[in-house]
Parts: sequence; structure tokens; C-alpha cells
Amino acid sequence: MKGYRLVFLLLIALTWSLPAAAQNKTVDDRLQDAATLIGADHLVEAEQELSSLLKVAPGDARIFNLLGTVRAKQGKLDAAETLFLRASSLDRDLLGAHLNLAYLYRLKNEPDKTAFELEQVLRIDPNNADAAYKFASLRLDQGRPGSALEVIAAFSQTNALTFPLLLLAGDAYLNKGDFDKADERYRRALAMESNSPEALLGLAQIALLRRNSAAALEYLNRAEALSAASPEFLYKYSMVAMNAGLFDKALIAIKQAIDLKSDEPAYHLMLGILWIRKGDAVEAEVAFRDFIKARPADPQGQLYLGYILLKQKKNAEARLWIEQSIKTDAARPEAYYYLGLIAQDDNDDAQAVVLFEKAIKLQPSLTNGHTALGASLLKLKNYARAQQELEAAVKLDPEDSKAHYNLALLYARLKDSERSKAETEILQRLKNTNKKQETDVDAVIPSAKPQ
Amino acid sequence: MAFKLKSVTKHGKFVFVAMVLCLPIPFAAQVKQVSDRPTAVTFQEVPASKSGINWVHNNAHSEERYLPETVGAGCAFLDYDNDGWMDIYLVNSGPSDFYTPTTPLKNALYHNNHDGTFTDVTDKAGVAGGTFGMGVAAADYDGDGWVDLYVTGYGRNILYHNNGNGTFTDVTDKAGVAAPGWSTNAVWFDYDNDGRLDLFVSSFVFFNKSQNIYCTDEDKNRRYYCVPRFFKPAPSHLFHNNGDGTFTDVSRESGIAAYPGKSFGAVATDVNNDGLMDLFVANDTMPNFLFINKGNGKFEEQGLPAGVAYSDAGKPRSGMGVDAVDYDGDGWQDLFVANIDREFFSLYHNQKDLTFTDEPGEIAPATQLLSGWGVKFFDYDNDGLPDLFLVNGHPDDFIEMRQPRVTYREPLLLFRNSGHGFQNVSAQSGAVFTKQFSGRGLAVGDFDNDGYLDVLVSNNGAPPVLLRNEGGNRNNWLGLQLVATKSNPAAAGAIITWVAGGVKHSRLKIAGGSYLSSHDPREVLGLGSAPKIDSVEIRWPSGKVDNLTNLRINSYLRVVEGLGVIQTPK
Repeated sequence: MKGYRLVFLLLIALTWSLPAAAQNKTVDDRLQDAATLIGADHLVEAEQELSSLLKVAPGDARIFNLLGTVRAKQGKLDAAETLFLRASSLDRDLLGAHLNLAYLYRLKNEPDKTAFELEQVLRIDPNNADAAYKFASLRLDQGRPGSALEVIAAFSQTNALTFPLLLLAGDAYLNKGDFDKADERYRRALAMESNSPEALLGLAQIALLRRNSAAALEYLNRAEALSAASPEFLYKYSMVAMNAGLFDKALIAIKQAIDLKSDEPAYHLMLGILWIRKGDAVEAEVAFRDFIKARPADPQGQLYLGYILLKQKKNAEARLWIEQSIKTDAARPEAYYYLGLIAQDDNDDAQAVVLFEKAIKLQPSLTNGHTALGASLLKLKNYARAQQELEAAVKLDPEDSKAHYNLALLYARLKDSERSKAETEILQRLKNTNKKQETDVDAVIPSAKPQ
Repeated sequence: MAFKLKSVTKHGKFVFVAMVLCLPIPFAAQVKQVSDRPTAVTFQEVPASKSGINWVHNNAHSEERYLPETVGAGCAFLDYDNDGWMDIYLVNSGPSDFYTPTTPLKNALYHNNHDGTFTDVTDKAGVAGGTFGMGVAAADYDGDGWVDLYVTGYGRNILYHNNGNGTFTDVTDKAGVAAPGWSTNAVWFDYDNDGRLDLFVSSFVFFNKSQNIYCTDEDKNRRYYCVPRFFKPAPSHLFHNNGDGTFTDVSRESGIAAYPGKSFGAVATDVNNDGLMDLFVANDTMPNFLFINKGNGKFEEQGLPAGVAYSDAGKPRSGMGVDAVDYDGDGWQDLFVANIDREFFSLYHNQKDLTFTDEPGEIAPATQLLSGWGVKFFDYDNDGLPDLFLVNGHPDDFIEMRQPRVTYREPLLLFRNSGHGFQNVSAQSGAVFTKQFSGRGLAVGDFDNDGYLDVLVSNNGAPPVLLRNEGGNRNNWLGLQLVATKSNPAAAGAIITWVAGGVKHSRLKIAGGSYLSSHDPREVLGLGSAPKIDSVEIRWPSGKVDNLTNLRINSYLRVVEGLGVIQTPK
């Protein structure tokens, strides 16, 4: 109660003092006041002050920047964007406007626009380590480790590399598959901060990729013991643990990350992927739905949700999400493959053929695509083409049990009992060796892009 | 793993200048809403205190986890005394090489008292069993007008001949149908159309006490029931009815014995419309069999080319319960198999050329985590379309410790045939669908003769559940008791076609199906809201055709083959 009274009194004081103060203060002073009001969430007063200021200095970019901040804080992102853009057009060197635009575009999940704004920030302030980090980090998120390294290199020409940039360089080299350079960067980072769990995680990842499980486990344990359980660390830890096949550890870590920061969509995506690995489609669906709540337009999230629904044969909704994902990202072969499976389930094999063909066009080596296409052609009684596709599948993967099964079926229907028997025997052998017994859906899990 | 929580100032964190944002973005997914058409037809559990059925299945549960313990047992609706009311038979476990009951265990025959209650007449009837029982198949194998009982089991099967006076006689040895080993489902049908009921008996694996394998979860140090893949398959049996009370084992000559399986459910139906009854047999961890009747006493196994042997991915599944029906009214018999959890159940649509496509629709997501046993297509709401009832339960009583989301006891499921697919109507169909059971057998029959088919569920190691169909939608119906004179006594293979309200329906009288269980032999024809039935045609397996008109609806009629005689049964 005491706290509430104090806030109330402060507000009155502020309101009463404003008109008098405005008369004597400079534009800079008044802008500072407005920023303070925004920081204190007094948005109405801040807007009043900024509107009043606009009459005094109508072309001051900083006023539009702060007005944009007010709108953004009100959740009016489009209006905020217009104001930030106005600010940056009035003063193309206004750092704050570009930083705000970068953040806004990040929120809107528009990475190219985010990158453009961060470029502007670095143009204005080439020594801005934070912007360099964000820009390089974004490039890495976009699957462009080379560009990330270019940003870091440009920054390092005039500045010493900071710890986070060294870590990021390690991540980028790891992403490029240059383990030696990644190793070297992580070790340099570790030399700067000897208790860095992130650097240890990086080293664990390299050890994993070098198939040195013992070393990987040691790094993981060291990282865990450091107890630097920020959500970001837990997320990374979870990812490395998953890659090491330590699904339970990965799950615990990502759940803790979510406990600490439940509004980070990437964590929910990670959780969903882990539940897939653990074979719990129901939990995975919950996690992907949480992700989609935060990022409804994210094609990766849509694809994962569609995938997990398909896995549970909730085909109608699965189709909707997968089709949504294709609208934004039409280059994923697995999306067409899944839609093909749904069409197959709906007994619409003519449509399934079209979809599988699309998937194969995007990824000619998609074994399951050839197999599924063969299966649909078989159902359509186009035996010659079915045989072609199924044989293509077993050529790509001689242990594709579904392809062998369909070949056995095909030969049986063609009354070629010898070849049918031979294929059945292969099927039996594969069953005995427990290979390739996954379902169609399990066989092609969506490829994950880091969030 | 336990992480201590610490506040870390992170590099590279995006923030607006002088602000923090919280951005909930609403998104309404365009999820197709399935219209849940309300149905007034519900099932009500009849408690033992009311029905008088106090019998409880003993599964002989042991630390050693002998496999037969977990797969039984079955149940049946039958009218053993020809009083026109369905009685009930329940199968129990019993002595075996791995189990000696501390008190004698009995199968149970309950006489229907015509008032919703039943009386245990097991001892008087002499049908207590005495083996480690599995299933039951009821039919009048000798055509004397009295329904007989064939009880399958682990060890030995029993054929009880109905003496027509409320008692039965064990005639197994005389008949030659003991089929030693481990038998599961039995089907009475006439494979050679000679007018006599032959007998198919599913065999499960080769098993005895000394062959029990130690299956354990090393982490938890618990012994659980082994997956059947560890045991060798056994050939099933086909017995030809000689017409003199004896049978000849024709397993080898017919081709059946050439296919050892791990067979559970079996159903006889005509999948290629050639007038000969074929056999569809579900196998556990092995490809299913589709034995096509070639008409010369031989069967040809066509499961693979038909597309019903494996999953679409080429994986043999754990087939348990089966059934057959023409669910879409295209004149061709479709097939159903209930599998174990995560394998999805299969609804095989007949493509009319001895091939099938698996089209489970809404049944698939609903059964994703379930293991199905008893299964029966029947028209529970008398709208003329066959609906689907499923009895579920996981065979492994430790499953909950090993598999997230899978439970040992599982719910019953009811799917309504809308004419455009099956819709899960369990939630609207009675409180019993919110309960969970260790379900195995399922028999369907109208025990209160109200024209709405009721359900009997047998549970492993638990009491059975009797469900009364409350009707409620006031749809009209006609019940037929088919009495063969030339065809087989069960009229298996007969085709009934009826027209009501301008709508034509057709039904083939199948034999067997479900799991270890046996149904009311009468056929209830759903008429929907039609106030009368325009015509009924019965095409008997013998080739005779009876056309019936001017029939009194909402009652049971007795139809005698070839005589055109219709009588109201007792």
C-alpha cells in the first residue's frame, strides 16, 4: 500500500511540474524528460510532451523516434515502424532509430530488414560491439556462417574481439564445419572467461562431431557444474545434449530454460523437437503449439506442428499447417512429402503423386519420396512407373524396408512370386536387424534451422 | 542434473530504447471442426448387483509373466435353451503347466431371466471348462436346432454339445477337434458350402512353461510380458464337418497349415464375392493372413498382394481383433484389424479386385495410443449403417512405467458411421466411455430384445461389463432369426438386402470376428425413421432366395430357408 501511495504522489508531482518546467527547458532536456516518462511507463504524459515538442521542433528525428517507442510500447507495431522510419529518413545517422527498427523487425521475424538496420548501425558506429554481435548472430541464424564471420572480421580490424564475438566466431566456424578454427576460438573465449559454460558447450559439440564421446561428456559435465543456468545457456546445453543423444538431460535443461523464460519461442521449438526424439507426440504437439502462439507465421514452426499432427494422423489440421508453411517457405521438400502422405491417407493417390514428385524435384535424393511415390503409383495400378520409383529408392537406400515391401507387393500382384519372395526375405532380414522400421513420418523429420 | 539459477547479463539482447515490449500475437488456426452430430443413443452399464453376473475373470497373474495370462479371455451371447433370449457365456483361465489355481476356476454360463437379470447355470449345464480358457465360438454345428459351444484354450480345446435339455456334453475327443497347443479364436463357417459348419481355429505361438523367456527392463528390474516375436509361430487348424458328429482335420490339404502364424482374431467373409467364404486372420508381430477360398477345398494365402498383411511401411503389426463389413455399401466386404499402441488400427477398404487400401480416417488418431482386441461393426443406432465398437487394453501391466501416455487399462470406443466416414461418438454415448478397462473380448447381442443391440465386454483379470443400449432415437428396426434348412445352420454367408424409406441396404452374414468372442446370431436391420420395411431379400448360401414383404417391424421374426415361412420366435 505504501508503494502504491508513493507512485501516486510521484505522478502528481510530475504532472504539476511539467507545464512550468517545459517553459524553461531545452529541446534536449525535454526529450530526456520524455524518455524518462517512457521508461517509467507514463506513456500518455510522454506523448503529450512529445506532441508539444513537435510544435517547437517539427523536423527533429529524435522526437519521431521516441513517439515510435511510445507506439511500440502500446503494442502498435505498424504505427511504430512508420514513426521509426520517419525518424531515420529525417536523420539517417540517428543510431537509436536504426536500433529500434532492428529490434522491431526482429520481433516481426523479418530477418532481412533486421540485417539492413544493423548494417546502418555499424555504418554509423563501427565500434559498436553489441551491434556487431547481433548482426553476426543474425547471419548465423540465417544459416550464413560465412557472412557472420565477415561481420566479425570487419569488426576485429579496428577492435579487439570481445568474448561474445569470439564465442560466436566459434559457433560460425562450427557451423561451417571448420572444427579446428572453431576449437581455437572457443579456447580463446575460455581463456578470457575460464568459467564460460558456453565455450565448454562449443568444445563439447566439436568433440561430438569428432566422435569423441568421452571428451564431449566431460565438457558437458564441466559446463553443467558451472551452474550458470541462464535460459540461453540452458538452451544451448539442451541442444548439445540432444546431439549427444542425452535426451533426458536435454529435456531437463530446456524445461528449466522455459521456466526461466517462457516467452522465448525457440525454447518451445527445441522442447518439441526433443519430445519427437523421446517419442512423445502429444507433448511435442503442445510444445509446437506454444511456439506457434508466439510465432504464428514461422514456417519452421508450422511445419513441425504439421509434422507432429500428421504423426498422430490428425491429418486435416496437419494439412493446414503444412500448407501455411509452404506459403512462406516453398523450398522444403519434406513439406510436399508430408502433404503427399496425407493425400495417400485420404486415398487421393493422384494428388499424392503430384506432391511426391514436387518433393523429389526439390530433393532428388529423397529416398522416402521415391518410395512413397512408388507406393501411390502402385495403388493407382501404374506398375511400370511404380517399379521405376521403388527401384530408384532401393538404389538410394538398399535398406529402405518400405521400398522392399512395396516391391514385394508389386511383384506379387504381377504374379512374379520369385521376386516377391526375394523382396519379402529382404524385408524379413531388415526386420531382424531392426533397421528401417520407422514409419513414413518418422523417416523424414523436418530439418531444423536454429532459431 | 540440477542447474543453479543465476541472473546473467546477456550480450546481444535486443531492446527498444527506453522500452520493453510484450507482444502477444493472436492467431486463429483454421482447424476444421468436425460437426458432432448429437445422437440420443447411449449405453448404460448394468452393474453386477442388478444383472446378477458376479463372475470375475482370473488371469492367473504371476511374477513369471507367462504370456497366456494376459491375452484372455472371451465371451459370448447365445440362446442355449431356445427361449428367444440371449444368455451369456464367459471364459476363464484354469489349470495349466504353469498354473495351479488355489480354488477351482470355472467358465460361466448365465441364463437370461427375461427381466434384465441372469442366473448362473454353469454347473447344471456342465460347461465349466477346466482348461486354461481363451475364447468361445457358439454355433449349432450338428444342425439339431440347439446351439453348441466350442471353447478354445491354452492346452486343449473343448467342444460342448448342447443336449437340448439345459445340459451339454463334452464331445471333443469324439469330434476330433481338441487341437492341442495354444488356440485363440475359433470360427464356425461353411467353407465348402455343403450346408455344414466347419471349424477354423487360430493358433498362437508354440509355448510351454519351460519356454517362458525372461523379458525385463534392466533399468527398472521388473519382469514383463514378452512381445510374441520371441516365440515361434504355430499353424492354425481347419476342421471339416463330416456331418456325423465328427470332424476331419484338413489343415494340411486346405493349405492353412502351410502358414504358421501367431494368430489371434479371425473372421470368415467373402471378400471377392464369389460365394465362398474366405478367412482373414490377424497375426501378432507377423504379417496378417488373407486365405482366399479357391472352392476346391483349398485356400490361397493372399495377404501380401491384397495389401492387408503389413502396415503401409512394410512392417508387420500386432494384429489382435478383426472384423469384416461392407461399411460404405458398395457391395464389397471391407476388413478391420485392431493393433497395438502406436501402430494404428487398420480399416481396409475393398478395391473390388482382391486389393485393399487402408483408410482408417478418424479411427486412426483416436486409437493411436490404444491396443485393440474386441471389435465389432454393428448398427447401434438402427439407422441402417454399420457402426464400430472397440474394446481396448494394453497386454503389459507395467506399460505405464515404460511408455509415456500408454495405459494398461484403456477406454472403450464407439464410432458412428455417418455415411461419409466414422466419427468418434464415445464422449456422447454414455459414462462408461470415460472409464478404463483391461478389455479383451467383445460380444454384441440384444439381451433385452428391444431391438437395440447391447454389448458384453470381457476384461482380463476383472469382471465383465454388460452394457445396455438405451436406444433413444426411436429408429425402427426388424430382427431376423435365420433358420437354415439347406444352408449351414449359422446361415454364415447369407446376404440380406432390405429396402426401407426408399433406401436400400445390404448385409453379408459373416462368421467369427471380434476377439475370442461370439455374437447374437440374429440380424437386426436398422430402418431409420422409415415407418415400414418395403422388402427383405435373403440370399442363402445354398443359392435359395427368399423375398419377404408386409413384415411387422420393431419385432423379431423367424425366417426359414426356402419355405417363405415367417414365424415370430418364442
